[in-house]
Amino acid sequence: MTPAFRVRRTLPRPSESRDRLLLLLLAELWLLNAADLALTRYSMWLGFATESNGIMDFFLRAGAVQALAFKLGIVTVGALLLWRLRAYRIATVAAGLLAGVLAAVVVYQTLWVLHLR
Amino acid sequence: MPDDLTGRPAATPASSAAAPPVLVGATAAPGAGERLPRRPSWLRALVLSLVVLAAGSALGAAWYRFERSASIQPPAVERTAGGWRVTAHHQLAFSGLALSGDRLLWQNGASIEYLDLASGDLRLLGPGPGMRTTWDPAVGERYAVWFEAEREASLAVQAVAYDTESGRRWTLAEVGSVRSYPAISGDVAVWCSAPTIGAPTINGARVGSGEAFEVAQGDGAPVVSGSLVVWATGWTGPFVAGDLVTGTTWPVSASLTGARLTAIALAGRTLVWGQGEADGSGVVAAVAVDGGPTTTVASGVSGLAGPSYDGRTVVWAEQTASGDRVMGRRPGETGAFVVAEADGAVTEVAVSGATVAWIQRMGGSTHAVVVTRLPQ
Repeated sequence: MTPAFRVRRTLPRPSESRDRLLLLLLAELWLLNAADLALTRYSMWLGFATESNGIMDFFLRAGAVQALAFKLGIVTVGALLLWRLRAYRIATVAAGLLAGVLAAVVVYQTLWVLHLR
Repeated sequence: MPDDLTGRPAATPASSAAAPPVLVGATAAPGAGERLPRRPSWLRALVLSLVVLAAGSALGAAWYRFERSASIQPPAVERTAGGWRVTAHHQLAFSGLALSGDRLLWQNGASIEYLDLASGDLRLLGPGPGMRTTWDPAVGERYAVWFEAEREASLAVQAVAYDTESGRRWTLAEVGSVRSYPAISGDVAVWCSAPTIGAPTINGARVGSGEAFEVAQGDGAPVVSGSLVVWATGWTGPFVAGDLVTGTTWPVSASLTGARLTAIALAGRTLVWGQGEADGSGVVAAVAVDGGPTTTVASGVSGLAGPSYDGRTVVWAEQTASGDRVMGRRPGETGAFVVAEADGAVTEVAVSGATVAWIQRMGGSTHAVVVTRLPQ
């Protein structure tokens, strides 16, 4: 009898080359998050944007330090989790996707802010 | 499953999970059909990570360009021999032309648009997040002010200020119900509004500090110059002046024709206005707010638009048999002069220093803002 769902176990494939790539991607992800926060705060200060993420909006209203601690704290936890899973290729793929998407967001925000100035 | 999450090799099956990591410089030779393990390289990892960033950045830039081209249709800005020409096709009418130095603002449909005359950069200033309606703007030496609301009939209208130096906009004051467009001079913005329950009031605010104040009880469209505020109490006048320093108000003695006012402008202590008769003829006149005779700047003007006055030149638009033209006259000098022949129907004019701007309707749904220099 065939089970309805079959769980496929992904095997760990440690690779020092991939570890280095993952480390750099996580560092870039961390920096991009800091840039995202700075651009968001600047856009809000300019008066042309509002934070639509309710949780982030709460911390942004609480203050810059709180917002920075929350955002970078979350990213750091996520980065550590991915680093712990570095033996799996999917961790590097996920970090690459996250960094790529966040780079797109940061570039979009930068162009938008430049248009306002 | 827990093994997978910890990153430690799984206990079974031993043949695959227990495979040791490939180490740098491992001496074990690859078997038949196996590739040589790639030597770890920081440079390669850096290049790969930068490729990921570059791909994401390209995606973000493409996304920005697509969104702007698909959702925002800014008017076309072109430099001309005398200044600038801003043209919009298939859009609502331009209105609320405001000019001060190199700063030119107007309303395009529900949008507040700002053209930096020094650079030609066009910026969309409003409406802000969550807002859908705007009213005609005013601009001074540094700040611009206009009204925004979620809907046109709203009783919760906000006065929005924009700092042309920092590029920042913010809510200046809660207006209530709009009774007039705002006017600004330096740091002082004034307007007429009515609270939810109560009579209309000439209100004001200092843009820099946000300090709000009441000028006087009354209804009308105010203009301001320095600490002097003047407003017409009705569509045909008369005028009332108020001093923000002393808090006094007084009626301005002026000879009015009884026709509907087309515009009023204040510079220093001189008030300039236009009145258009039902038969299409109009008059442009001026008076000192502290008293004195009314001076006729132009009379028998057909299809009057304006006037605007910056303290040196009175500018208005009129219709002739060959089309509309923009006229100017400097107080103390005899006779008016032609500033420019317009290639459309002029609806508004503005002057500041050596710069003149006007809005013209060019048939269909094409509108233009034309900026040129005053003839010497």
